[in-house]
Amino acid sequence: MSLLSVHDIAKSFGPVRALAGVRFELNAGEVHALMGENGAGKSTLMNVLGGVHQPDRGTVSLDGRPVRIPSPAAAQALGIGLVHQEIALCPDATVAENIFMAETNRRRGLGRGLWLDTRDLKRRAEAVLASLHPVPVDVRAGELPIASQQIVEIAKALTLNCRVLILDEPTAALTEAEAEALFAIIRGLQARGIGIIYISHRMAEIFAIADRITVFRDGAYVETLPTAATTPEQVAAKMVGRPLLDLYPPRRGPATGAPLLRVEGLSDGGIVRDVGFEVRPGEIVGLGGLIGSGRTETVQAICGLARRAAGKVMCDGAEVPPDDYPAAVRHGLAYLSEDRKGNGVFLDLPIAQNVSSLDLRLVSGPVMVSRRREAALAEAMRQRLGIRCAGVQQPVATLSGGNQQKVALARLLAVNPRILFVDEPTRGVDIGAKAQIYAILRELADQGAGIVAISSELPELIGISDRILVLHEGRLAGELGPGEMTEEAIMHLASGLGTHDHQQGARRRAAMGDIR
Amino acid sequence: MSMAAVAPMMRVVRVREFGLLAIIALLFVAMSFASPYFLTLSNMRAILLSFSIEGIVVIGMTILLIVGGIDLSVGSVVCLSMVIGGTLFLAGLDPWSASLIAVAACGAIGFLMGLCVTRIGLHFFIVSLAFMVITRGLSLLLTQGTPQSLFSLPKEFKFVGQGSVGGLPFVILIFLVLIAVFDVLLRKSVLFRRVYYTGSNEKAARFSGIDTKRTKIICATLCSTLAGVAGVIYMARFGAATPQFGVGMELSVIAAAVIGGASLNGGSGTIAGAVLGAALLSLVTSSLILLNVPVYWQDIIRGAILLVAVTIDHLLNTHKARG
Repeated sequence: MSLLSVHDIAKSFGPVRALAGVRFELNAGEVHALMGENGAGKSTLMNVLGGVHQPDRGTVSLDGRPVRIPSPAAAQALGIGLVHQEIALCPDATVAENIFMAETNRRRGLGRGLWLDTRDLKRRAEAVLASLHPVPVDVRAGELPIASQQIVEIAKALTLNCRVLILDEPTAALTEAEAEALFAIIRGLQARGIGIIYISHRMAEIFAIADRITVFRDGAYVETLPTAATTPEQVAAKMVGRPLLDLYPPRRGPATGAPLLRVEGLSDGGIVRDVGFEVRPGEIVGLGGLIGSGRTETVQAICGLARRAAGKVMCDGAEVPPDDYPAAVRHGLAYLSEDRKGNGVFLDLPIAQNVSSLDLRLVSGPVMVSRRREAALAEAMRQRLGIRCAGVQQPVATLSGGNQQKVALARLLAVNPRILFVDEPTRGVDIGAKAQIYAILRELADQGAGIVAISSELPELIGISDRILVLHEGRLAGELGPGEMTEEAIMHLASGLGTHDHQQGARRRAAMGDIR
Repeated sequence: MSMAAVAPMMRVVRVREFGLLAIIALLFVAMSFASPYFLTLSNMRAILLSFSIEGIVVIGMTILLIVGGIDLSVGSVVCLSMVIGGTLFLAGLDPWSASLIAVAACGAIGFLMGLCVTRIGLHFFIVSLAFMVITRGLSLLLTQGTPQSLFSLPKEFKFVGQGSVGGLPFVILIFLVLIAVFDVLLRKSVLFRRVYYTGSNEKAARFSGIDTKRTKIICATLCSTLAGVAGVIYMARFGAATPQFGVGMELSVIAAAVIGGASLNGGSGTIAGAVLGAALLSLVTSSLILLNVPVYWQDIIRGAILLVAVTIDHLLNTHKARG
């Protein structure tokens, strides 16, 4: 009998049908991946299981007995732990206090007396973390790196004696090595008989960790497959509902022309030291490296979004001044942020006002903005990028992740950049939109733009780039040309030439295969 | 209004404003039946008058709220403007120059607050709280705590606050012009578009090459300047300057803006909405008086209206976000 079984769950929000009678089974000691494009209904189902939303119909059963989950506290009492994609720790409380927050709230155990027994709290927190990964328990949670915060979140769920653990995009903020450590933790939990529902957009990860894969599409159940009996291509095809032939557009021959962008001796006064490279028109240059290797800092320093302590940036022979992004935009540079919601788009403003935001002069006279011209510009972008929306006056917040990302990209394309920097261009975007974004980038390059792409997903980096520059601790560690771009080669350079990390990474990756 | 004029109005004035208009209309009809004094010309004039000067402050506050700020000092600044104007006039300056200097001084206070927020990195709430107390203290200092009687103000100056043009009080005329100007600017000008960008997502605005600090300073300055303008109009209207004037005004001004759709998180709000919010609050106050509701109940009821308005707004928004 399965540990958790979901039968015919339906849920609508107003006129929007999020789930249309889905099913899902989870066995004890199983890692069951739930996949689907954004808007497929994964998060809604997780919120139903976590007690956040109430289903319109259908049943959830634990050990074969139907249960009601009216609140998150009820979910916890039933042993269902939900680790959200966004980390929700109290940054000012200690790790130990964070871990036992829910239990304190349940008014038994720790919260029984008037006073918290801090020593007992510490001891028990250490015991929980010892089974996962050592994290100091009496520092403030906000001082920990993201990866450790993620582990604290998992520990938090485990203290509730959970039997079902839901992990929503747990590796989104982790480096390769940290993700590797997380997988080891997950396997440990699996061995303890905990059933794990694993949500991720990263195909390689799913195939490394999951026993079974269930695919949702448009709020409906599609199929459940044993991982061993399927391939990434098959899963991707089921997610989008059609075979996905080529995720990555074909490359052109080597770019010739004179360099469009030349960066010399760039330092940001922090991690980035003495970085120099060139980009020719028509080529997509990948920028690889571990998280924290200075990729984003390099690109932001080039664009003038972060301080440039030393170095020169030339675009088409003209020098781009430091620390002045508007000037860089005028020189033809544009930057797509890795943090879409944080600084990529204006969520509560309409699509049209987003598209025009980088240079209002495109749609305005000396004083007034022309709403007509603004709408026309947005409409042109909507057609060019295939943004799915009811109209360009719709707020960006109402769009799916992939369409929000297209709006973020449209903002940049509106100014016709000659050098486009894209930082994690497909983060949190479903596979169908990914393919479209790759096609857009290649099309821009074919029209003569130069593109610099940062990505933590190695298959993506290799798939879209003509050549790859790899950073290690803020310095250029090497360059990989067309024949040399492999995940092993990138990791080799990124980890500073052949440490164990590289060895482990290579072994894992050899076992994984990627989506291409 | 012809049908052709309605269509573009529909696009500009959104659901929010229609909801407010409906509530106001409803209250209007109900009050016409409830009180014989309600639907009289003098009562209508009184209601309009009562919120048009404060409405000028609401305009400034709305803009500051849109950029993501807030200003608790407006009540004190209105008073300071009045007191500076009065003091200078009593010292022998002509009232026009005195008013100009008073308004400029208020603008300078806003500018200073903007600097504190953007250069030092303090929060608008705290900075304006400090300035609320400081400017109130300045008013008391200038007047030594006693009201100034300004009955000797020249007639032409008093006209600003007391006169009428064709039956319409001049104050209301000023208010209507300011509404029209700022409504158009806010919806269409490049400058105020930057205000929305900054308030909606400051980081994204910076990543769009917008000087967000400058934008915030401009809004803070504008808000205090408009409070200063309101102050000198009050001076002309009352022919007096009292150092206790405007206590608590910041709350009703913020309430009006928020009822009108401005968000304390920035990025949203319209002039039309804020004006309707101010109108609703003023209509309620007037109704409560006409219905002989004891004065102590009035604040409780107005507070409850604010709570209901933001609750409805919040529920509508969370629904939108989920859908």
